[in-house]
Amino acid sequence: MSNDLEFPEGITLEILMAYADGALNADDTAKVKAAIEAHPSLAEEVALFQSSRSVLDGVFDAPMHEPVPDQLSALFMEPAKDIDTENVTSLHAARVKRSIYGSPIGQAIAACAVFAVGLFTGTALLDKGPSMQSNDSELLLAGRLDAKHPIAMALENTGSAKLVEFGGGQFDAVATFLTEGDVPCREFEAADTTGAMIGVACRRDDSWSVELLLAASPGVAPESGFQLASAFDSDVLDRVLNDLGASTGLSAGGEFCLIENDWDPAECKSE
Amino acid sequence: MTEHTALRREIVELIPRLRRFALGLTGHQADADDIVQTALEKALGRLDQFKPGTRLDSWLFRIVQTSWIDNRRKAVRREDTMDADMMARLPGQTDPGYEGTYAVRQDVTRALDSLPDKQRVLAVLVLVEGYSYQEAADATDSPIGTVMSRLSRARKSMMMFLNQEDQ
Repeated sequence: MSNDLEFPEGITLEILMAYADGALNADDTAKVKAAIEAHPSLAEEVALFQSSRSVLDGVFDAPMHEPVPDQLSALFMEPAKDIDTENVTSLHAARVKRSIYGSPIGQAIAACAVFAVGLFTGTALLDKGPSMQSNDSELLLAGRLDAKHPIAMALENTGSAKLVEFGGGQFDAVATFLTEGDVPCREFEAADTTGAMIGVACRRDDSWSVELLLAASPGVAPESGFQLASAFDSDVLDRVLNDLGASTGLSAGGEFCLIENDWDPAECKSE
Repeated sequence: MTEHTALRREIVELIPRLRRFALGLTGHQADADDIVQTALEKALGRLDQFKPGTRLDSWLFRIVQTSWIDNRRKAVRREDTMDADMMARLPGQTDPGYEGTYAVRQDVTRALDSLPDKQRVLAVLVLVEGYSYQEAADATDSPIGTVMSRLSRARKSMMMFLNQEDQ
């Protein structure tokens, strides 16, 4: 590689760089090509610029595949309006306290096929008939998601802690884990103008099945953004997670591997 | 929904790119996240200054740049050692799904460290963030001729540094 190459008239280091980047118009590209043919050593400079791009390709991409750290997402949390914040349980704090393995309650919850008003689009969330077990502000729901439902698509393609929006609604996957039978499952939060929900869905037979969907602070309209602080019964969530035999949450890399491999845990055994 | 609410949501969506940009500038994820946090705090305090219709990412990248430069004036150089926890968090070492390995990133970071600040910013904007020359000029408030001159010298210097390290 030359350090003090003298360039032919009309050729500069900047022009060679632009040629390497494909940033020249057709006339200038032709001129540079002719110059390279006449002075082959110019090709070394072009190769150098091309290498400078390839050597950096992807090297710093880790943040694109990771959840946003709490220190940054916390800057955007807003207090819920018209909510008695003294009596609201911070979801984040609840997740930190909650032990996936540690619930003292050992009873199973019977999962019933339930029909619910769909989030975001008003279409049916589930493709089976309804039955519902409700307890004041909670709904217990289960059933297979239609593949084209926004929640199903978000579960399929979105990394955890990455806020996703769909026409008036929001989705945020909290964590991904495997059950005792190596079934991938995800805990998630979703909200629209009718309220916020926390759910657990598992990927079985190439589709997502909702194992649990809890309404959190029903009737809250998230005017100021995603309502991350809301009240819900963490014991219910714990029971479902224990019944599933949930593992500890997967790392960002493990989750990324599942997303990239159509949620087949066998392809990600090393994670 | 207020205008600032929509703007805040757009900023949240850009956080991964801001982290990547800052990682290219600092070479260390923890430092990068501190820079991004400082930049986001500044941005959130200046939402009224953002001009609708202009590039939000460029506006934020400018704030990250100035935060980085301010920090460099005060920073004590960190020892280039990684403890086990930090190593475990790096892609390439434990996460085979990622392209870059720690060794490659270390080499490239050293090469970028050898550049003057303004050259490094341009190298990261164009070669990591994929900005065009004009977009990089807008993001750095520089004439495009200056951008191309600095960028070409930056890339040549970086490759000469890497080639010397290989010898």
